[in-house]
Amino acid sequence: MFSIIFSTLFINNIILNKIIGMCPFIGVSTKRKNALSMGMAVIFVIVCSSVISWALYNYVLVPYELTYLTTIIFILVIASFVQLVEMVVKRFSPGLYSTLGIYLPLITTNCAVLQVANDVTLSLGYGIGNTIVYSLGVSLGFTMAIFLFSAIREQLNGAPIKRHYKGVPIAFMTAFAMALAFLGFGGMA
Amino acid sequence: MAEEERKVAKKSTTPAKKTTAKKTTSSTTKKAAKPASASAVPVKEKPVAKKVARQNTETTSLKDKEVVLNELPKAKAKKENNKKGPSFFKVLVNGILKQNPVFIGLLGLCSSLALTTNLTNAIGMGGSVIFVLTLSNLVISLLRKLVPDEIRTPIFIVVIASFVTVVQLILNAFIPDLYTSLGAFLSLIAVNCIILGRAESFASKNGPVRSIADGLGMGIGYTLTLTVLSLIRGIIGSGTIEFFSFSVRVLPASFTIAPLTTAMGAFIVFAILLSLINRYKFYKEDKAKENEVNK
Repeated sequence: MFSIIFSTLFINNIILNKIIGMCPFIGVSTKRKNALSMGMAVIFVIVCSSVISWALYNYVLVPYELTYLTTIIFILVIASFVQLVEMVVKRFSPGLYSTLGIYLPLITTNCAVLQVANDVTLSLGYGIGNTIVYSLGVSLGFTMAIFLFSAIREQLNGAPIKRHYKGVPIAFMTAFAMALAFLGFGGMA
Repeated sequence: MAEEERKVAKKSTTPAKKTTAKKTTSSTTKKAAKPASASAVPVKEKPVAKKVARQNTETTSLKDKEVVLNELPKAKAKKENNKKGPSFFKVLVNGILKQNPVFIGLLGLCSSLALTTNLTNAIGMGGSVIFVLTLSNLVISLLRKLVPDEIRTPIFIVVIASFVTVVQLILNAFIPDLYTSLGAFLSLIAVNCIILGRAESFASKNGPVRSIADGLGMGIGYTLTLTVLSLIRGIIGSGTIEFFSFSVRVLPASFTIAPLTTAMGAFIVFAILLSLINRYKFYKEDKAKENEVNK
């Protein structure tokens, strides 16, 4: 269990090692507060949707030989959970809802969420306990990476950068540096 | 209390009305005399006013009529439709260079950064995205008037996911090598921001032929971007160009920069390409400003 958490946080970090989940990485990470709240929403969505997708796959799709419906069912589960999260956030903290803006429904198209569902069912074939641990680890890794990235980007706002590097290019160069740092964990598998 | 007040008010008003009515009936003769005199004046003025008005309308009658005709609903709709329609070819070319989904829209970054390690993955992914994008654009634009506004996102996603399943099954049957090397990224086409973004912004508002053009254009732009990225990373990173079973050695192994094939290589190559595009944009803007100043 500890090895799963350690690998998803550092060795196979979903953003910096596997490069999945990039769209909000570039879009949301201009402020630390936005990044942290985005990470919280993603944690909730990934854990719940992966558990339900795992249950649906192993108890409905596989016994009845409907595995060609995998993608559609997973995406429907994810979309409904994102809608649920959006309604909950709108009800309980409207300030958060307005800061996140369009990126909250864009969690539906976050590659990381679907990748976790696919990993847990198709490629890795975990049990229910490992599923919860893996999804928690992946989402915490996502949150950590996006929070660190947004902290660096906030500091970069005041730095003297040439105009053709400003914005996304310099962000990708810092992501390059972060991925280089996380590559150092690679030998610990 | 209020009702009594209202009754009192009614009683007060009704006698006033009766008195005024009585007054009018008593003074009808006087008023009859007055209108005769009053109408005499406007009757005299009318011919003068008519002449002036006629002169004005003669000079501006055609323009007024045009304005009135153009503001009719049918004519307005015709003009707007003529203004709205970029041609098939323009929409197609738009997606390749001007609104390249990866470099300018910054969509679909997951697959474009992670899959560009070798050329087979890039072209295979590009082909699948062209297939899914054009067909889903077509279907969504055919359904655009039947879809209720609140649930349009899940409906679009289901359409896209079904086409992705079709692509998965076809590739698994006919090109199994590509299926195994693309792996999980085939099902990630379903949540590719490009396809959902174009469905949301173009296909749900335009006709089927234009939507096919847009899907083709965006898909070709995406494929070209992936090939450029994979060529750079492949040549400098591993020195070979491999396409299915055809492989060419371009650089000797000792001259390669191996980290370019890993995650960080993707980031730095993409960053440098974006900065080059920004340089070109700013160069053009500066040239335009100089031309304006010199004029």
